[in-house]
Amino acid sequence: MKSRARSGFAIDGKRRRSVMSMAALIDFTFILLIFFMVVTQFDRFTPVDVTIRKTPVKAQPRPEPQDVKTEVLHLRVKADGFFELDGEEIGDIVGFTGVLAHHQPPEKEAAENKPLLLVEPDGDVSVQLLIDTMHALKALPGFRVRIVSKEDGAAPASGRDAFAPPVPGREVPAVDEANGGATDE
Amino acid sequence: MSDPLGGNGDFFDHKREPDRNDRLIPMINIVFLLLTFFMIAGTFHAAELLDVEPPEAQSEGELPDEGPVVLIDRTGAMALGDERLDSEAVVRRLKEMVGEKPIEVRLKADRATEVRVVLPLLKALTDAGITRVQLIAVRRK
Repeated sequence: MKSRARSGFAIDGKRRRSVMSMAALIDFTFILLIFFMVVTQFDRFTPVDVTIRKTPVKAQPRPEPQDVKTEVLHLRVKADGFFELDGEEIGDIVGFTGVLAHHQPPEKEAAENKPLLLVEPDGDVSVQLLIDTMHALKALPGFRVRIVSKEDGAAPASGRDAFAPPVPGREVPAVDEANGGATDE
Repeated sequence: MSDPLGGNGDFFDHKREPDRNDRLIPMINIVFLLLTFFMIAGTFHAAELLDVEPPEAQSEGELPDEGPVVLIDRTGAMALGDERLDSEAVVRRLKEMVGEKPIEVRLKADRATEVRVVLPLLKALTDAGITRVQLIAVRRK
């Protein structure tokens, strides 16, 4: 009797409204929900340009006055997150931009001859720290920034300016902006 | 005598006693809303050969869809597509692709990968004629 009633027919043969149990629907919906919760990613990926730009070879290099020398600063990035400017500890990523800001030339002077900031990450510096460093340096438009690798003399880098081979001397001739609009972050 | 299934044939019969299903309806509504949210807001990504957690960056650009992807995990192991390769093999493979047309290489390195792994690879890619390399990062909130 009970089974006949559940089938939607009364005993007298008169059709009645059948009521479907929703338990199966809920089970299935929960499975779908759990599936989507597990496999879904909300991370939005974004590109950071790390193209190495070779120092441009120009047929006629820009003439430089003999007395104009570009100041070169060496910023060492250490794996512990601290920085050294020309061998002197200048704090972590929060503090080092303040120190570097003092080395920025006045605006007029900077337009003519920006100091070259060579960023030298230690080999065990993480990619994340390097990206954070380059992002912090974007706040200092008074420098031309290059990343140099101490390990193999490579010219890797990213950021606002081109990657370039390490410059051995403390003073180097002014270098053209080699970064044709590379966007750091 | 009332219907053992909780109804008397009239859907809008407010006098009928609420059954078990009625109490479940708000929950079903919520679950469906959540389901719809996850289906619309989420994105799917193909499973990758190496476990890579990309670095965060404050960038607004959109990642190009095309181009080979080089994976580098935190130990420095590399993969190109679905094949584990060493760095020389990666560069060699990419160099073969350059012959046909300019390619844009996407580099997906773990945030903890050391730069001693990444920087020489970038240098080698440039020497191989790759004109553009993009590091895949997660947009910082």
